[in-house]
Amino acid sequence: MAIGFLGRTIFYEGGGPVNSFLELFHITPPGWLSDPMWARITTMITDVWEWTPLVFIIALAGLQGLPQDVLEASHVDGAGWWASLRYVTLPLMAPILWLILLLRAVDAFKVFDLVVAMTLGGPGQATRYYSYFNYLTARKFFFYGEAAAQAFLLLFIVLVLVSLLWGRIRHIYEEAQGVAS
Amino acid sequence: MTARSETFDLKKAVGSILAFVVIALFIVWTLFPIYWAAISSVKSPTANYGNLWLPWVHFQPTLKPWQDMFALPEVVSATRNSIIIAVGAATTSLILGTLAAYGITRFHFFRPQKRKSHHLVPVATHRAAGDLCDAVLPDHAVVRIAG
Repeated sequence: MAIGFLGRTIFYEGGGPVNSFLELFHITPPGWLSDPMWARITTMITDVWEWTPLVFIIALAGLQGLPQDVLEASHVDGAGWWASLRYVTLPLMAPILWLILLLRAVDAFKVFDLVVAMTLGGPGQATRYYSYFNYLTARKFFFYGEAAAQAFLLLFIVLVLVSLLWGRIRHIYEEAQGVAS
Repeated sequence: MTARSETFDLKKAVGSILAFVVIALFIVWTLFPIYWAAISSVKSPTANYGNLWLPWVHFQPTLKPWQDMFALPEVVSATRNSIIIAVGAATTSLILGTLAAYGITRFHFFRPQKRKSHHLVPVATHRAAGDLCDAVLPDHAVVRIAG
C-alpha cells in the first residue's frame, strides 16, 4: 500500500520527480498513470521495484549454495565465464529460478494494493486486475455471490499456474537427480 | 497393577480426546471461511444477507452467480490484465534480481573492512521504504482512497 503511494507520487504527472527529471532533457513524458498502456507499465515497474530485492535474496542464496568444485572443474577444463555461466551455473540454478518465477507470478497475478493506491483500476479498465475487480464486485456492486464465484475461479487459475510451473520444477529436479546418480 | 494401567489408559483417552477436539477446532477455524465463500457463491443475491449457512435448510442453492459471473466480459479482461502484469513483473524482477545476485557473487566489489554489509542494501531499501511511508503517510489518506 505504502509502496503504491510512493509510486503514485514518483510518477505524478503534474511535476513528479520522474517527469521533472525527463523535462531536464526536454523529453516529453508519457502519461504514466493516465495512458492505458503506460498505467499498466507503471504498476508493473512499481511491482518490480518492490519485489526485486526478494528475488535478489533468493537468487543470492541459491548462487552461494552452488557447489564450488563443479565451477572450479569447469575452469580447469578451460571454460570461460560465459561458458561456465551458460553450461554450469544456469543449469544448476534452474530449479531456483523457476521457483522464483512461480512465487512472483502468483503474487503479481493477485496484485491489489498497488492498484488501489495508484490507479483505482483506471484509466478506463486498463489496470483493473483480477483481485481489484473481485473487490469491486463484492464491495462496490454488492454482488457477493458472483464475487465468491470469482474468488474460486481465481483459486483455480492460480492452481493451474502453480501445477504447470511446479511440474516444470519437478522435471528439472528429476533430471538433475538422474545426472547425479 | 490393573488400577495403574487403567488410570494410564484414562489419561491417554482424555489426551486423545483433547487432541481430537483441538484438531477439530483448528480444522473448523481454517476451513470455515472457504466453506462460507463456497456457499456464498451458490446463494441468490437476497440470501447473501442474513445468518443463512446451511444449504437446502436455510436457503435454496442456485448456480446463477456462476452463470452471471461467466457472462461478464470484465472477468476476461481482468484475467488478461492480471496475466500481463504477472508475466511482465515476474520476468522483469527475475532478470534484474538474478543479475544483481550474480554480480555480487561473481565479482569482488569494494568491501569496507571485509564486511559483507552491501548484501543488505537492497533488503534495507525494500523494507525501509514501506516502513518510512507508513510512518509519514497519514492513515486517513489510505482509508479514504481504499474505502
